[in-house]
Amino acid sequence: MPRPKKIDKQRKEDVVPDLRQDREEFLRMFEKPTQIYRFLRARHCISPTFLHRSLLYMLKRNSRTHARRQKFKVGDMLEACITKQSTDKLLPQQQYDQLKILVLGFCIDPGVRSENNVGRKFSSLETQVSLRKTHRCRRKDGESSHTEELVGITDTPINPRNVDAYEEDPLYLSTTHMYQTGDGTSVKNYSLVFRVYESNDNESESESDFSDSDNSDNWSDGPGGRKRKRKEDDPAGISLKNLTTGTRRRRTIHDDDKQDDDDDEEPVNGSSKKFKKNHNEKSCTLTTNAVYEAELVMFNSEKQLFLSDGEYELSLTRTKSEGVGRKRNATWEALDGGRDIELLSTMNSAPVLKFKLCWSANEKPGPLSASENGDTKNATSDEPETKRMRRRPSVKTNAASETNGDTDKPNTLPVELVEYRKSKLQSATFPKGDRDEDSVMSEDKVLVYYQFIYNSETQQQTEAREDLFCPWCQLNCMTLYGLIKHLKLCHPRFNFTYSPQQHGSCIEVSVNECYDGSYCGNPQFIFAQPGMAFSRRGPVHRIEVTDTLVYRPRRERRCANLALAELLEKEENDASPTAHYTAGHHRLYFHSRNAVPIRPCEFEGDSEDEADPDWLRAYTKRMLDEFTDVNEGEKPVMKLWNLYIMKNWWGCIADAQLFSSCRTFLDLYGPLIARHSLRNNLLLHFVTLVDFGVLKASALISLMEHFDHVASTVTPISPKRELADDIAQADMELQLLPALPDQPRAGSRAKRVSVGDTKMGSMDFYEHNMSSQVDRLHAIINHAETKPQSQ
Amino acid sequence: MVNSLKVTISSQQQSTVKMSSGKKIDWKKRVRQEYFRLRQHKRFQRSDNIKHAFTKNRGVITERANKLNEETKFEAQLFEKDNSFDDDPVTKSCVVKSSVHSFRDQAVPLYTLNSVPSLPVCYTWVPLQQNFMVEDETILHNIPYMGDEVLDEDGAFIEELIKNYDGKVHGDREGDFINDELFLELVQGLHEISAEKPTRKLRSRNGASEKGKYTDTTDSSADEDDTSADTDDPPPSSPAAESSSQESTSFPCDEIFTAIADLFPDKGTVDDLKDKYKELTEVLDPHTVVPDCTPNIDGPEAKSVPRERALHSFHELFCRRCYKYDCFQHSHTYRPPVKANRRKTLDVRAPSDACKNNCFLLLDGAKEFNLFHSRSSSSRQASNRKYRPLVVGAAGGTTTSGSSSGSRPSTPTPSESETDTTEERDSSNLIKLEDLPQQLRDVEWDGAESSLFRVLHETFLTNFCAISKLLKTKTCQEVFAFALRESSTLNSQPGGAGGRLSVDPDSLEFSPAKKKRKHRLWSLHARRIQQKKDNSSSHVYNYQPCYHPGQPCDNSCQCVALGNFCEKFCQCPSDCHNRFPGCRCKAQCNTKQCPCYLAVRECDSDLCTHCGADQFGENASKCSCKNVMIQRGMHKHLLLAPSDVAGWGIYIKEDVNGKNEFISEYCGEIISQDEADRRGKVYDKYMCSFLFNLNNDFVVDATRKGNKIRFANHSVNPNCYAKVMMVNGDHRIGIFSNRPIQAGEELFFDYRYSQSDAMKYVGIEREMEAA
Repeated sequence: MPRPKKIDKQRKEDVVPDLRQDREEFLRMFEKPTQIYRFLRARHCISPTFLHRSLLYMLKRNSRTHARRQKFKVGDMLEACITKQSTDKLLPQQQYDQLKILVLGFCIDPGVRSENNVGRKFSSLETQVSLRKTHRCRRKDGESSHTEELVGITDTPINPRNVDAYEEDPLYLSTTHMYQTGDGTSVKNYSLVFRVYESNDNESESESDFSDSDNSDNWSDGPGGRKRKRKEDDPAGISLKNLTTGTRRRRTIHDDDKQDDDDDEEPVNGSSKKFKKNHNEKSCTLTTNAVYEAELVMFNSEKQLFLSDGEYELSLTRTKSEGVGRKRNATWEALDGGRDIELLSTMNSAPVLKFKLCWSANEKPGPLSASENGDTKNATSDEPETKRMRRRPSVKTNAASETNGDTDKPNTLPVELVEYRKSKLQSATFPKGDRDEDSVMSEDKVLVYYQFIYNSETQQQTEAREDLFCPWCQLNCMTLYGLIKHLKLCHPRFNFTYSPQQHGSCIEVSVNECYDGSYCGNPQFIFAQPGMAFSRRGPVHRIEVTDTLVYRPRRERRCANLALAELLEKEENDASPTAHYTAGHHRLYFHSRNAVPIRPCEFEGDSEDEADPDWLRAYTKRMLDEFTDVNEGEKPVMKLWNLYIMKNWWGCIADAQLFSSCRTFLDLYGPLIARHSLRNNLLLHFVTLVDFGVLKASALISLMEHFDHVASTVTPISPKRELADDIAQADMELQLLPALPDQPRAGSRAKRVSVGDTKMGSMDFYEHNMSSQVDRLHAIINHAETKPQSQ
Repeated sequence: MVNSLKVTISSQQQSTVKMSSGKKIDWKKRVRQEYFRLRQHKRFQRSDNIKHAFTKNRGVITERANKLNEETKFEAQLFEKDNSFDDDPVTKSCVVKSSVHSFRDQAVPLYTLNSVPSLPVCYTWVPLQQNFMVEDETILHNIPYMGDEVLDEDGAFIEELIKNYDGKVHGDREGDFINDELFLELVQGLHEISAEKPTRKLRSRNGASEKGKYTDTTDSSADEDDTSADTDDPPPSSPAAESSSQESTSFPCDEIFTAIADLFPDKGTVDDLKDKYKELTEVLDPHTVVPDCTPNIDGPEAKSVPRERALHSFHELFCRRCYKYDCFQHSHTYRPPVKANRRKTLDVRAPSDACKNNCFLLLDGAKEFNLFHSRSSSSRQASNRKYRPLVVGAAGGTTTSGSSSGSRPSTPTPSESETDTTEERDSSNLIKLEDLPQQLRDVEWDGAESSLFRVLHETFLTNFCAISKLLKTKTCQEVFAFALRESSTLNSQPGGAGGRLSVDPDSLEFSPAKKKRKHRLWSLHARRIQQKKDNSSSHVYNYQPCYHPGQPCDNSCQCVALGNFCEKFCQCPSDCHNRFPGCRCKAQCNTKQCPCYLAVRECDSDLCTHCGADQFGENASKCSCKNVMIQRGMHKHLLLAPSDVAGWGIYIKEDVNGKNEFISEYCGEIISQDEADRRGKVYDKYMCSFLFNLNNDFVVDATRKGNKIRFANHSVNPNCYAKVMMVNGDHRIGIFSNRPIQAGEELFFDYRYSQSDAMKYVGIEREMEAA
């Protein structure tokens, strides 16, 4: 087993004072993105953006095959239910009457451990497994009573390096009697209680870290192993935990390096003595040592089986005093959505007990007979190695099928209690047929070296891991290909360069300087008041925002089978410029006049469409008013005409167009002019147009006819309203007309004139609007007429 | 305030120097007192006005907001959101615990607001959709502030700036500033005092100046002022008010003017002030009608005026190019109506059939009258053409204006001179006013009707049916009678003989000969355009409609001299060889095949009929021409957002599919080149300029007024380009796409390129560097 390269190691030892500086350098580079990814991971746990198992490169995580879907019929569901019903009655009794419990190790954060004084003085811990029966409460007053019977006690290594290596001393629990409920007392549920005692009382001579050394004999390698050892604290955490906890932990490691020279070779295995306690409950209280406890429900009152085969990690809580706070804190490090994240965080901080559960049939030979009586002893540990090895595959396939069944029906699992995690054990259970190069590699102890390159590529630190967990999100990627793919795709703040090595693979990690971390969501959300988007007053207009959710770069054909070669050479030219390129309106726009954000409901309207801003309307009126030698009959006609032309200046750009413009003018303002009896001035206005050669004389006649027609509907009223007020009102009404919601904004103007069949529709619409405008204006004027009369 | 304070000091010094006699001091003091009292009064009034306007504006704003909210009610996104955060998701609960047990804990939901990025600096500007011509500023309106450090290190800049304006800075002399209004009030206020002195009250002047309503009160005194000022012109030099009190009751005494003249030496001498006062009091009398102003034709006191008077305001203010009155863009280029063009528009023929039972045609001799006039007009027209073939009637615009109307070459009279004389002789035999029935002759015509008749008569000539239809109040027989009466009165005047009645309108139809000539013109023009192009004249001059009556458009014509085409606004005949003939494309006019496009002009809706540029309204879909975008305002929807490059930027809302698509017009104030130089100095200092060269005479400045495209940033690799086009006689700047542009892209164009000449304003390039 080659050690990871430690290029910086030599330098560090040479220049000791630089260590801290070096460390700070390292932290400065990697700390922030790492924290971000930690946060993202937590968020992903709460509300996942996608399911990892559905990703192409995570095929291994998807334990199901879709083969069955092909020939799926609805009737199959019924059949499956029927068969399940029938087997449910039989199987648990016949197959699952014996539970093998194999305690693998007790993992505790060294920092926590030192605080709690666990394992400092004691070389090894011992785990007591007992079966707790909770009886149904018959009495009114009391709580439900429970009885406990000891299943067994076993030695537990602290922070074992290799879990598989510790496959020893299984405890056996026969469950046959649990199903016999005829003993009068009704049992509510059965649960396994794990208690961890510090088993050794003799004083340790130094403050040295035993746990670091107690495994080293398995590896029997020098200081290089220590690095890996540390990682075992948090197998999914690798160096990142160091990052977050800061330099302190790092320094302890360095301290260890020195101290290890002294007490490295201390025989730890020998010091582990087996304490056999009787299953008196007092025994745990008698020991003053730190006690951790956790409970795991096996069966509930309906005899539903909660536990299935597999590898478990159970987070333990400290028992403060007896009987109090038997808080079940069993959570599993799996990514399951929608749950309180605190449960997950406990997995990181609280000590974790690792164990394996295997159900086996009763009729199996060997230790099963011994476990019949229920109080299993450690004597069962003398099971021959060959037997274990032989039985293993069968158990595993069994387990695989069982867990699959459970995942498909999550309602059978109280998820807040137990979440299982697919571990390496199960990954190994896949049939060998679809193994390729990388999985072969994973067969023999995958080794992944992470080389953190920093300080403008002059320095690096190397971390090695044996698993394929993503160091940042602690996701088991199952295959090396998947891991690298995941790193590259999900952690774009870093650059990952993969290069295979002789006995493993090397991933260079550096900070991606080009990462664009700018906000690319809907810009409206930033400026909007919170909750604006979720206003419940009615349907809300929104602006569409384009986002690249799925980016599928061109993949070469030969790489379709997820070969590592793809990751290898295409490192440089794989730059995908279009990956983050999004077209469309990805910014918040502002009103040009007051720099207020444009709300989605205003987005369609163009403020530039009105050719006559308010000030210009007021201005033209004022300019005409300023003339002293223009009489009070000419002014209103000129004003009305100007306002009209300004409103429709685009519609009056040529002499040829003037006639129709005049007609519309009469439609709009004719009644007003008639009411104020300005007919002669209007006539003079038209004659002027004729004089300037822009209107034909015949047109003048027809226009005046039209006016007389319009005016005939209007009777001049005796109490005249102020003409200026009338103009102002008509002006304002006309101005507000296009803002009506049912009318197309004048923005359609551009389309209207352009060529194309589709534009005809909008044209008709426009015509319709014109007439409705006229109608409305008439209504206004009529209203104005009736008003003075009523007064 | 500061200024006025300064003045107080200076004037005090002045007065102390001049303090010689007690009486004088008294007057000067009074003048000063009165002056400052008035000024203060004005200040209060002003601030009151501002407050009032402010509250009024608030009202308008809320009213509009309510209206808008009503309309967007269903959108559920109201303009003024209520202050409660009811809709907002509660992120946390904030509890305040009380140590006293009797008090409950107070819990309040805690809302988190987003952190909002700050916006780039945005100076206010006024929206425009069309260029706006402004006059040069002769005084510096404000001293630009660019931060203390800029001014500190370069104090010379401001000095230079002020020098550009000849040292005139706005508000500089506000202290001793005295305008007409103030002057008038001052004199009147002082006069009151002087009048009070002899304990004599003026009749109508109580508290006149207090209210500032001098217009009402001075009415009565004005006429008296005139007389008294004339009679008592040398007022008694002695300050003894008693002596002057008898006669000069109304005209202020001399001391007042001398005191004012002392106080404001730059306002002229005593006599100047007196004259001014007289002038002002006269003007303020509303009953003295402005001589030019014609009474309202719809009003009760409408007078019978000649045609020119009746149409004077309309003719003066109408802008032929904008179709507006008193337009913002061409207000300095008013021209009288083009008489030559009227020929086209006078398409109302003399009636041949009676309009109704009592039509004037049924009267005896009326038909002959009509026939005679139609014939005579055509003959007259033909003779006109013979002598002056090119300028038909252009010169005859004054008295024989009717002669220019219409041409009917299809009915030529063989011997013009003979018929002319014979017809004139014949006219004496025609129907006379006396022949008409009495009731027609006695019809009363009021001032408005008679004015209108004169107005219409020139347009409709002998078509009395049409005139009566337009008049509405008179039958055509009555009109006919009035026309005869008019002509008989006019006949007595020389020159006016039958001119008004003698012309017959002509048809609009094109004669074949004309069409042919148009073809020839066309080919000629195509060549000329090519030549122009070859010359690559970098100088483009502003177009002004030419007006040279009687002269063809030769080298003396300003259009020719400046290298512009004559437009339809020119006074030259429509077959002028310098006119641009328009294109005859059947396509989209967006290639150089189109002569309009080639000449950097937009298609003229009155010239280019083949490309559909003459289609509007409901027929607009038939318009295949893409060369009409600026005039029709078919700009793209633009959106404003902080730029990716610098400051603000402009973004396009929808996709632009190809090259050369119209994006928007670059609008702004049109200023002269001199003004641009002056303004550019300041803009350069700010390193931010919105100046854009329009042509050799004018510059578009979008700093104060403009449209959204002003936010487009500079880029050397732009997606848009600017092009100055001639659009219906105006140069306008169009921004066009350089390449297909996707929705949401920011727009850039190269500031450095300009249609006319190289960049003059370094500031723009500097801004580019800054960007």
